Amino acid sequence: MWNFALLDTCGISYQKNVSGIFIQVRNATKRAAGSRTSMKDSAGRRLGPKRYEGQDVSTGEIIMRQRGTKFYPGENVGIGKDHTIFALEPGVVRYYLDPFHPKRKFIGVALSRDLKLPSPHFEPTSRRFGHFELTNRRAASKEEKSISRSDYLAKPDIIKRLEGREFKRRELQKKLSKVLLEELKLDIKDMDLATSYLTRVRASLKNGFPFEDAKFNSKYYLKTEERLKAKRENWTNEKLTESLSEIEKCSDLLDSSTSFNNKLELGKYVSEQEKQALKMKLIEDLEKYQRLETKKDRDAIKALFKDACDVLTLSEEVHLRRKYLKPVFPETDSTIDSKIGKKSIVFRRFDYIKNKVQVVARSKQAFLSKL
Amino acid sequence: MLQRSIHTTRVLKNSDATIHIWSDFTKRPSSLSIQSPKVKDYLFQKRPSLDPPSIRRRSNRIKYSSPEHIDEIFKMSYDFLEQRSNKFYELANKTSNPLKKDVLLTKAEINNPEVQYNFQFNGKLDNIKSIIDYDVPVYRHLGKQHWESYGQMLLMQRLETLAAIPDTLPTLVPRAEVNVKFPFSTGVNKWIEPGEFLSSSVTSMCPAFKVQEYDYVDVERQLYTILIVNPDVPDLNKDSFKTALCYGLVNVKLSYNDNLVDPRKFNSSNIVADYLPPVPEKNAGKQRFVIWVFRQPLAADNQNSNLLEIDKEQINRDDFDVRRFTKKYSLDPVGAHLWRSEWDANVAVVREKYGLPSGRVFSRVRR
Repeated sequence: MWNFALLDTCGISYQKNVSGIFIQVRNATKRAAGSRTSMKDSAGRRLGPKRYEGQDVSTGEIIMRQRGTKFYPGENVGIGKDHTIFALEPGVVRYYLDPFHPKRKFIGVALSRDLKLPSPHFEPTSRRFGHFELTNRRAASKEEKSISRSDYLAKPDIIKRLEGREFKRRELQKKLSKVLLEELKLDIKDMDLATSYLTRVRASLKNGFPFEDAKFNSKYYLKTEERLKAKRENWTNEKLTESLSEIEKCSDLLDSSTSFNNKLELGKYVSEQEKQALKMKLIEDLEKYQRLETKKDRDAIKALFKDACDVLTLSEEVHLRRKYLKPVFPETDSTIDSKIGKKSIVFRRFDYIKNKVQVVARSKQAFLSKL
Repeated sequence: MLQRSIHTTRVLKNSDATIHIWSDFTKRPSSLSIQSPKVKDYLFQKRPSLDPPSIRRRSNRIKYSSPEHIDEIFKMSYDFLEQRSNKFYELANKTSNPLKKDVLLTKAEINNPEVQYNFQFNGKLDNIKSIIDYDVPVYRHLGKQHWESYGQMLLMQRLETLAAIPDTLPTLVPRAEVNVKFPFSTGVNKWIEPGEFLSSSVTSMCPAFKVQEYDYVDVERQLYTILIVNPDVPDLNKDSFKTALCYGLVNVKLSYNDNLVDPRKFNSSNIVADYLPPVPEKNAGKQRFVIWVFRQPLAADNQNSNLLEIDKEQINRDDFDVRRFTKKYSLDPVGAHLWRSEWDANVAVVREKYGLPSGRVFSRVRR
């Protein structure tokens, strides 16, 4: 710091005079001084309108940079995360007020110069289509075949399930035609028509349509298909009426000679009156077995229920089965053991009336499965 | 401590003398009564110490005990309301104004516990006439309340957010509930929610509508028009969209209970435009299919027919103006519904089935 040689030449001995020199010491922790608000100004952010009223804009052009929503985005306009307003459609910039939001100012893009914003509330909105037709055949077919990635990934699975359903339907049709030919011995000309009608009725019933609706829907489906086919292939009127009457005849024959039971299996036709009579008889027969005591009784009741599916609706059948084939019989004197024996079945339960635990022993006669 | 109690010492004015209007079913429709004898017996406590049938499990039924004195209070309130209902019936018999009569008949039955049970515990859309009979004013009132609580609001929200109004008609004051299903195409039994996306195979055959009126209308004379319009058909000349008519039915007769409009309800004379299924083109975007139900104007006197004569030749299906059509025939929009369709892989199949030309393909990107 000090050039000692230079000091020497000046005739000042540094050794003698070192104590006389004032050495200033600055430590690193010295606080800077200054005004509280200085050094805080940044350069201007260049805010403000970038496109003015009546100016043409194209898609994506920025119309306004702002802090906060001084202007709100109106029609055909978007807003960015810093509240920048930009055009979503090509058109003419409009600054406007909307009577539905009296405290707000809006910026919008009108699709043409003669349109005013806000657009009339009860008029159809003016929209721009924007896409153009692909006239190049190769490009068009390429575009038509393209599917999204998620569709592409899902496609094999969808096709597999579709084939599975188709296979099942064919199997069902085979089964139905077998029933029609072998069990019911019906004279049917067009087996394909008959089975397609029946599969459709069956599906409708399965989907919860009432029987009348199921029949009508299936018939209407087949007739509409036929009419469309006739229109495609330019059939004559006679041919169409003939094929429609064919459908009518086939469906009438099937309606009068077949019916689905509650398991949706095809069987011979049972009329509503017959069903009622059979139901009454079944209930009468069931009433005879008030108490099931032996295995024989149980089997007899099960035998009664064997053909019940043709006569009863599903809910009726479930109801009756629950009533007459209870898994545990009511607690009567004959089914409760007074003493706990070797063979008795014991369980404990809480008696809410007496408010204490009750031990109940029941004989094997009390359980349907142990008869 | 303050204790509140309802005193039951007051004897009701000789209640035997009053006519039990709610329990006399000689003149009343049976739909005003609870069908299940079990529930009815419990409600009116035919035998003391009956268990509530709404509790399934026996142990829970045994555990249940009703709040103290509730049975006496129920009986007292029932008698009071029945007496009051009697007065409303008397007033209703005197009035000749059908609208006022409906209001009075509603007031007479609205507090009937049997009516409330029937309405709350049974299907309102697929109603069974013997339980919920919309011919009876009180069920129409309850049905309207139920619709307004959710279905109507959902419909209006969808119509507004999807801009079906004002793109098709300026606005809608909903008065009739419209429900749609497609029972013929796939055989699926499902009511469509307004605005739902449907695949082209589902919509490949005509829908069935259920139009439920809740207001007082002249059921014998009133006829309806039903239109399905698609306001999203690309119009390349204008670089915009035009409206197409997909389906048009006129002079459809409905009643309060029998109101499912499917091909059993009409014949070829009612059809002004055959059903054309939605076949959106590739990259043309989502298309809205808006169903409008209109009340047709009634003739001034009973002799004239109310039938609407529409010239099919004058209808331009490809560029259809719904506003002009409704104005020309002075139709009153009462209900609406909509679904949306998009291009899918099955569109080509539907086009072939209906003998339509293969669709245009548009650029994926908008210019």
